[in-house]
Order: sequence, then structure tokens, then C-alpha cells
Amino acid sequence: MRSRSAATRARRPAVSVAFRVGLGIVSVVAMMALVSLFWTPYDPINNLDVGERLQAPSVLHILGTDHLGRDVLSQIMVGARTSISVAVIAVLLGVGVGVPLGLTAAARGGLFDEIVMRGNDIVFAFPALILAILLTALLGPGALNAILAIGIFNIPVFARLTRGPALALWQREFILAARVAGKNKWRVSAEHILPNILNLLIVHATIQFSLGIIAEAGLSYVGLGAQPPTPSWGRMLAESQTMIGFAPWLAIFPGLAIFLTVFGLNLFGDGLRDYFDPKLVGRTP
Amino acid sequence: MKPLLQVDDLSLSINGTTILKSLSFALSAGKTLGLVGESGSGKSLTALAIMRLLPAGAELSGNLTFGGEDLLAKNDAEMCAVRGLKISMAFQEPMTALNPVQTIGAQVAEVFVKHQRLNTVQACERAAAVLERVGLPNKDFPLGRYPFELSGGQRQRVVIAIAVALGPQLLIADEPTTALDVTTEAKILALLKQLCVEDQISLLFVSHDLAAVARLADKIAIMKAGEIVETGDTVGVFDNMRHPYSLALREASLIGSRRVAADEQAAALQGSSERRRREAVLQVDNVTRDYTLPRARFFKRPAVFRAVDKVTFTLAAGESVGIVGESGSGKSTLVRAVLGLEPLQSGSVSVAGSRFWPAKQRDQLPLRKEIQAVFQDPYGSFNPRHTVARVVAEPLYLIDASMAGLKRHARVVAALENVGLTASDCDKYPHEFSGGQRQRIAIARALVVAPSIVILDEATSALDVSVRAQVLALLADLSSQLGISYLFVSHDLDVMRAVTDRILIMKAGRVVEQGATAQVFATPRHPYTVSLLAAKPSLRDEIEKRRKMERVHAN
Repeated sequence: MRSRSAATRARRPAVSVAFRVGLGIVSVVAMMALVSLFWTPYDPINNLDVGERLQAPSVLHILGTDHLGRDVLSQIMVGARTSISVAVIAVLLGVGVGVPLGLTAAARGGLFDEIVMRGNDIVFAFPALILAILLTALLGPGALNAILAIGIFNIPVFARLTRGPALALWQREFILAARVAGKNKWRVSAEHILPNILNLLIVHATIQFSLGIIAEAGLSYVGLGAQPPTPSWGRMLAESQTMIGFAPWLAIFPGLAIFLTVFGLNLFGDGLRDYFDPKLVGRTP
Repeated sequence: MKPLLQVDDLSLSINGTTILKSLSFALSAGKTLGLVGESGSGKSLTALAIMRLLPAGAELSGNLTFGGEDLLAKNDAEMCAVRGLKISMAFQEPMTALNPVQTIGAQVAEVFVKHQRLNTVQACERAAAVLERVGLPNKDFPLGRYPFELSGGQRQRVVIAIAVALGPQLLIADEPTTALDVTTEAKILALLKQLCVEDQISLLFVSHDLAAVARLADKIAIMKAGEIVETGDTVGVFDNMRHPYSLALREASLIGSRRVAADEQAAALQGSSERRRREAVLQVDNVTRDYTLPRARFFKRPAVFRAVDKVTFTLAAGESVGIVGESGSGKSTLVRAVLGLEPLQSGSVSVAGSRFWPAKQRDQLPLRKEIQAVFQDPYGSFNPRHTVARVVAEPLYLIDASMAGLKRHARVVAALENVGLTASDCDKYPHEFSGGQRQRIAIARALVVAPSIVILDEATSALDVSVRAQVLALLADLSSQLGISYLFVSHDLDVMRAVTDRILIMKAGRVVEQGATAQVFATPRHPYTVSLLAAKPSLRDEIEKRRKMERVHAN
């Protein structure tokens, strides 16, 4: 176990192998999404070439083609963009609303705290993905509504995550000292509470990010995510269903993309946690 | 007679760092040895070394004989038969030494089941008997009680019950009273003494408190930096102290009694009328704070707990007032009320002649720079992510929120130099400093806005005696230089006696007695004050008592 001696706080422990692998996978996915903005091997949407349909992976089409002759690699690259943007914005929505709610609940207490926390309980009482499906079905399918549906479930996650440690911090003497220095609750929350729970938030954001990727894929799979012709990993999986017998690559590669991205993000998140809090290394399974 | 425990040339190193340097001492059957030292002196590790409960990477050398057996030669399985049965231990923190989810009966009975293979019924009978011995009779404290239902002192009794349950030959008590109030401390010390006499248990009493050690121990050993610097019979050691460290320790422990003599002289010279003429910088009038308890039933009105009940006092310019009380007496709530951080049900607080509470936040803010505070925990009172400069500069916000650059830096450096630190400490982090230095940083933070009142909420309680003496000396200097008034809040009567002009005794939210410190100590009127003063072990009195006892024995 690595321990952090008092005098060497500035020196962080060396990052773990898992963290490097996670970071590697996440950067490859992010690069793919970025590159797809200006270059893909083929046009992922309009390159309909019936002569090239259902090609197995080859030198020309590294990951093969689908039933309309579209290049699978190109679609996966653009799909990464959809997945990442939906998941990132949903997490930002959760952080942007949830963290201030949690900080305020901890700072004010009383009725406000009660309302926020019981509201959280209500949202938590619904199975998230089912309600997201219900929401998008009500609001109409599309990437924007998918973001909203996933984001709403991130709000209570971050509100709760923020409130607990914030409440504990409010009991500390340095908070008392700050209040003696005349700072009001908002300033104390911004200057003392938030920076001390930032590690926790960053680590949890990566985990919620990977859950967002899965949720987005799930919504697209049932046709409620990004609409055609925008490529999306979930819909690629859905469309491959009927052809899985003779064109398995159509299911394997989008599935692998989802799996690897989530796996990479989880490794990355675990690595971040160990990096921020070396005391925990070796204690978690 | 051969001693029960013989430690010869015992050295300990952990991962190559030397912790204990060739300790030698002996403890005879039925006697008490006091092991005194400050934090980091190795006294707790000495206790753990005897139990052979050392962390991984520890290396012991030397001789450790207990009842004629070589403890260092035993393997772990053999040590398990010694621990608990022949040598047992009581710990400092009664909160954490007991398992919170098990009843006290189960925890005491466990030792009988484990070591004597009794069945549950027999074990429970024995447990009830042991608990009765430590002052927890079955009728008031049934075996089914959980630790959280007991007070700190009662929990410590349970811990002691477990330790003495099997009739050990040696009991190691590691700071058993440090976490307790004075009156509780006195009771626990008396209990330990009684049990050791009745059962002929040898006691190794580990403490940083010379007075408590003097009350219990026949022999003492003073430790510093892993070495025993002085050892011998208790009275002998106190009479002929040679080592500079023990002298400093004794000096620091006698701080209370020394000041009283000086104070009486001063009072005789100038009279106390001069002080009264000075204007009041802090006026607390009829302050009452109620906490609403959770509703017992849904339709019932919630009950109210009165933490502070109509407290009134004033603090004059340059004066030091002490508030004494045990935990739960409402003194911390009162401090927060005076700082304007607690909504009050009635009463008012005025600072420097202006209304501070009740008042609008806008009117409160300019007064805040007059009243600053230093808190107890030198580890918890700084944001761990901020540098010393940023920590100390925080209250400057009260003078000029946008104060920047050189002006700000100059004030921070001036405050640091006031407390004996230097400008080069600005960029360090608080955790790089020792407890005493951190408390200096906290004082610098309070001084940076040049307040007229500083509240010291148990500000020296977490410090070692010698460091405490230094910090108190610093506070006295600052008061005479800058004319600051102090409001000391503490349960430590020695400190109160040494540094305050007037004193308020609090019990259950009320001030039961107030008056000039010397007068309250000399002629306490309220029965609670009397019991408080009687409970506190005073080094001088303890030594006197011992001397008398020895004279009786000699005759």
C-alpha cells in the first residue's frame, strides 16, 4: 500500500496500469469521434452502394458494410460522436443542476433540504431506463430528448453525492473559521466545500458518463435515441438483429465499441479515484 | 522479590526508523508504574510492544520478561493466551474501543466464553458480576444495553470491566481518562486504583498528565523521543528532577498554581476596581438558545432542549474571561452564539458597543473584524487545500474584500511574525507544521484583522503540556502588546487558573457561578464548582498526599 507522507502532498503516486489502459481506450474513442468530424473512410450516411452491401471485413472495408452498403467503421466513428455528446451533455446537466442543489441543501438544511432529498427519492423510485423510454416516447424521439431523459436521472445522483460529504464538511472547524471571517453560506460553499469534494465529483462523473453511454445505446436500440440517418451504436445493433446469422460483424463491432468504451471509462474512473485518494489503493476489490 | 514485568534494554524500530531506544524498567506485582510523555514520545508503542501488538515491519530487541516467561520468545498463538488472560489493556477512546452493534453484556461475556469456555448463561452471570464491580449495577445497566446508550465515563467502565474480567496480573491503561471530563476522570482513576488494590493487579498507566499519574503511580518513568529520561519513585522523581525535559514538563503542569500566587500579589497591589472601570467590549445579555428535538409522535408538539439558558456576562477591554464546563454544558453553543453563528431565541450580544445580535447581516459584517476565534483542533481548523498565506488571509475579507498584492502579503507576514512564525512559512501547507505551530497559525488568522476580542474555544486542549505552556505565554504577550480581550472556553481548570481574570462556571446551559478567578478557586460557593475543583488532579496536591502517606508508612 502506498501512503502519502505529510511532507510530500504535492507528489502524487505513480498512476496505475489500469488507469493507463483506461485512458488509452478513452482517448482512442475520443480521437475517433474527433476525426469523424472532418474525415471518415467513407461517407457514413450517403454512401449507399447496393453492390457493396453486406461485405465481410476486408481491406477496403475494415469492419465490413451493412445491408445498404454503408461502411461500418465510418458509422462507428460518427456513432462515437453521438454517444459521447449525448452522455457528456447528460452528465453536465446532472452536475450542473445536482451539485448546486446538493450544496444548497447541505448549506441551508431545513425544509429546502427535505424537499430536495425527498424529490431525489421520488426520481430514484422509478427504474431509470424505463422512465427514460417513457419520457422520450412522450416528448418524441431524438438526441436532444435522450439527453434530457438521461440527464434528469443524473441530477439526484449528483445532488446526493454532493450533500453527504458537504454536510460532513460543514461540521469541520475550518468552515467555522471561515464563517467567523464573515463569509456567508454561498461563499463558504464555493470556496471551501466544493473544492474539497471535487475529486469525488470528477471520479463519479466518469462513472455516470459510462452509464450514459449505455443508456444512450439502450434508447437508440429501441428507436428513441438519435434518429436516422444519424448513425448511433445502439441503432446499429438494433438493425443488425435480423442479419446476425449471415453478417455477424454488424452486431459484433458496434457491441464491441460500446463494451470497450464503458470498460475504458470504468478503468479510467477507478484510476482517477486511486490517484486522488491513494489511501484507498488495495482496499477496494 | 522478582518483579512481575521486567523490561531490559528494549528497543523497537519500525521499517528501519528507531522508535524506542533501550528502555529498561520493572514493575512489581500489585504496583503501579506511570509512563509519562508527550505525543510521539513512544509511550503508547511501549505498551503495544509489551502486548506484542505492533504493526508490520516492527523489530523488537532486548529482553521482555513477564512472570518469569520471556515474552519475546513466544509465537503469536502463545501470545494470544497471554493477552486478555494475564495482560489486558484499556484504551483511550471509549467510543471506538467498544463494538457499537453489540450489547455491553455480549462484549463482556465474550471474554469468558473465549478464555474460560463457559456457556452463555454462566458467562452472562459472570459479566453481570464484573459490570457490577466497575459500578454499572445490573438493575440500572442491564446486559442488553448498547454502547451508544452510555455516557463516555460509563463506556470507559465497560472497557475496564472487559480488561479486568479474567483477573489479569497486569493491566495496561493507555490514556484511559484523556477523553473524559474532570469529574468523570476522577471517578475512573479511583475505580482503577480500587480494582488494582483489590485484585492485586499491576498497572502500567500511560498518560501525558503528570497530575493524574501522580495520583495513581508508585513509580514513574518519563519518556521523551523513545527514551526514558527519568525514572524512580513518584515522590523521589518529582523532588529531584534533573533532566531538563522533565523539569519543563513539571513546570508546565504547575502552571495553574504558580499563577495564583502572582495573581494574589497583583490584586493586592492594584485592586480589581481599575478593571471594572474599563469599557465593555463584549456584552452578552440573557442569551438563550433552544434546539427543537425530533417529534416523539407525529401529532405531538416537538420538545425543546435548552442548550444555553439566560447567560449574561461582559468582557472588558484587555480582560480575560474564562468559561468552564464539562462536555454538554452548552459552552460551545454559547461560543457560536457570541460569534453570531447561532440563531438565538432571546437575548442580545453587543460588540464594541454596537448591537451584534439580533442584527441584520449588513450591520453585523463590520463588527465581525472585532471578534475572531481560535478553535480546538489544530488539524481540522484549516482547509487542507489552502496554503498558510491563504488561510491566514481569509478574515482580511472583512476589511477589504479586494485587498490584494503587497498590502495583503504584508499583513499576513506581520500576523505570522506576531506569533513567532516567519514569512517563509507563507507558501507551506498547514499539515507541514506540528500541532503547536498550527495553533500559532490559527492565532495568526485571528489576529490578522486586529480584533479587540479573541475567543479561544478549547484552543490549547489538544496540545501537549509543554507546547500548551508556550502557546499560553504567546497569548499573554499578545494581550499585553495589542490589548486584546480573551474569552477562554475550556474544561481545563489549570489553564483557566493560569490565564483568566474572571471565570464563569457553566452547568446544563446555565452559569452557576462567576467571579474573579483567584476568588472562585479559593472559595467556591456553588456545590458544582466545589466538586469540579475537588475532582481535578493537581500535581502539587497529589505529591503532598503521597508524601504524607509515605510518612505514615515510615512511622
